[in-house]
Amino acid sequence: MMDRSRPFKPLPVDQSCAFFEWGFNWAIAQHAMHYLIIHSAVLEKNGQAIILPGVPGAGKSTLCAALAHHGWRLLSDEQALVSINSGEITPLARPICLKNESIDIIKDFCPTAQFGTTVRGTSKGDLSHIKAPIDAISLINQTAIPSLIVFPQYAPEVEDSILTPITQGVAMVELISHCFNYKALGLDGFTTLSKLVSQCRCFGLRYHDLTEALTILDQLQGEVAKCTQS
Amino acid sequence: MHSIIANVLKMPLLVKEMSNSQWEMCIRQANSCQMTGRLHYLLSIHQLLPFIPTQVLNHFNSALVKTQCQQKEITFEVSELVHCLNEVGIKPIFLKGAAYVASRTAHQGRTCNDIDILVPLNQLKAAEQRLASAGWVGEHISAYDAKYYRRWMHEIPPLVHLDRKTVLDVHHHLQPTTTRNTFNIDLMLVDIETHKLPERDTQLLVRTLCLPDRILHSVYHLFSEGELHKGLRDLTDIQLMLVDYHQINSEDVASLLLERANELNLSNQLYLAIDLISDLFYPIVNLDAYNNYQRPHQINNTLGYRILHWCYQQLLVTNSINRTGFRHHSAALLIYVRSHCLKMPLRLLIPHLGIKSWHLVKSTFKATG
Repeated sequence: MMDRSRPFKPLPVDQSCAFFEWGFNWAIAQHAMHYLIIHSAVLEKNGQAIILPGVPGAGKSTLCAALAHHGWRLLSDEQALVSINSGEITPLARPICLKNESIDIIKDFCPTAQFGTTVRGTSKGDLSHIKAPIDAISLINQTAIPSLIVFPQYAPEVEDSILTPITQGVAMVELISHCFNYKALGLDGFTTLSKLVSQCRCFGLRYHDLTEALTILDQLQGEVAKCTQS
Repeated sequence: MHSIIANVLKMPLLVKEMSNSQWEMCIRQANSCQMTGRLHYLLSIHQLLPFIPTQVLNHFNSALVKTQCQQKEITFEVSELVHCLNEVGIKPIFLKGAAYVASRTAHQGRTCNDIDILVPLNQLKAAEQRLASAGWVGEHISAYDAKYYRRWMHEIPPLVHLDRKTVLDVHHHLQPTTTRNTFNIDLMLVDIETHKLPERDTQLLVRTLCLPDRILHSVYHLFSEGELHKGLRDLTDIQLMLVDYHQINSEDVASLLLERANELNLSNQLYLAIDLISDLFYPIVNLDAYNNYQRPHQINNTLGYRILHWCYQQLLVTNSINRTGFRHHSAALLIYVRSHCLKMPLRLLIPHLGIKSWHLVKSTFKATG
């Protein structure tokens, strides 16, 4: 119930955290349309932000949780809010939502992560939320400029992680499908997104081992940082 | 709870001193009556945008993206509809929101949820056939509802575009055929305006009612509706159209509009709208001229007019957030009952309610097995 309108059907009380999060996502998609909103995780290290767009199941939140506890600052695990003129990303720094097998994987991989209770049997399976790290919250007013776009794909069948560069054109078309309001923004959506891909290096990452994936992304970040310095 | 948005509309300078919590309530109330984009426009003409805190401005900017996108879509659909119906020799007249967008009057910051067109009754069948082949189809409604629409209403059941999901209301009249106080629609069809859509097709001509008739149609619509969720926005539409009307015409525009209202049997409603605009809004158009004329004796001093005036004063400043209290509920009930009495004589209303309840009982029994 919100201002006497009821945008959603009620859920059982034990799913209230998940319900709150989905409601929050909905409210942002409805009332922050002046940003280009990309369905993706965003993190930042040494002033360089990385955008990790992904369809559900691609492992975006798992990778996001791992990075957020290994030297990267969490901006968002769900929505990248890109400003129309500047291209900066505004942080949300909210709890990260993990589903099903990811919950135990991250419990092992990030012992410092603070988990909420696990809710079983929601429409998206089992869910648990991780508290946003304290530095992410304290820096919530600090926007970040993206320099990397990586499309993650969890692939249990690959032995070693595979990082494939992709062209800006392909990245742009792919990103459009991950935007909530690309069409609504019209020309502003196009210019913002094309500026974004032209200032970023774009890759696809097929991974199954988190340690390996993190090493690759740290390396990439280092390379990009060097390029911008020189 | 009082209405902050109503206070701001009456005294825009208030925004210079509003606290964060007052702003929050203002935005929530504006959202609930589809006024956010419109409020932004009204504050912009008073040069008050610099006084809006950044977080609040974000809400306005978000609403602007939404209204601009809707208007772009409406413009697209309007040009598609004109093309498609012109092919079979039908020239639709666009009403309400789509007309405001096409004519660039009262479109500022306005939301448009659907498109309304008017086609002559004798071309209705051809229009429906052509629209169906272009992807506009009716949603499933019961046989009784369909029959009721066809027999008594001034429009056919809403059509939805298969791909784009845009909703289209096709009217063949401006009032339900059951309405008690009718106006002469033929008079309105004499002076039709045409507009170009430069951003789409410079050759295309979009037809709407002329500006004074758009004002009067909006006035008629506002005071015949039983519920006023968007009433405040509709009243600002009328105010903005009056601004344009007074700018375009240098002569005695008030007397022209009053004369037109008189011809169309809508002078009561026009006076009520003028009174409410003067009561509720900061003046952006001088309406004094309307009070220089002797009002017909049935207006102004009668108890009926005063009750109606009071009801609308109550209802227009309340919205889904602050609608509480005896005054609001009694006004809402009166307006609801009045609108039904205007549109539907009891000899139709009672059987209609009987049949509707019977269908409801039947479906409940079916559902519970």
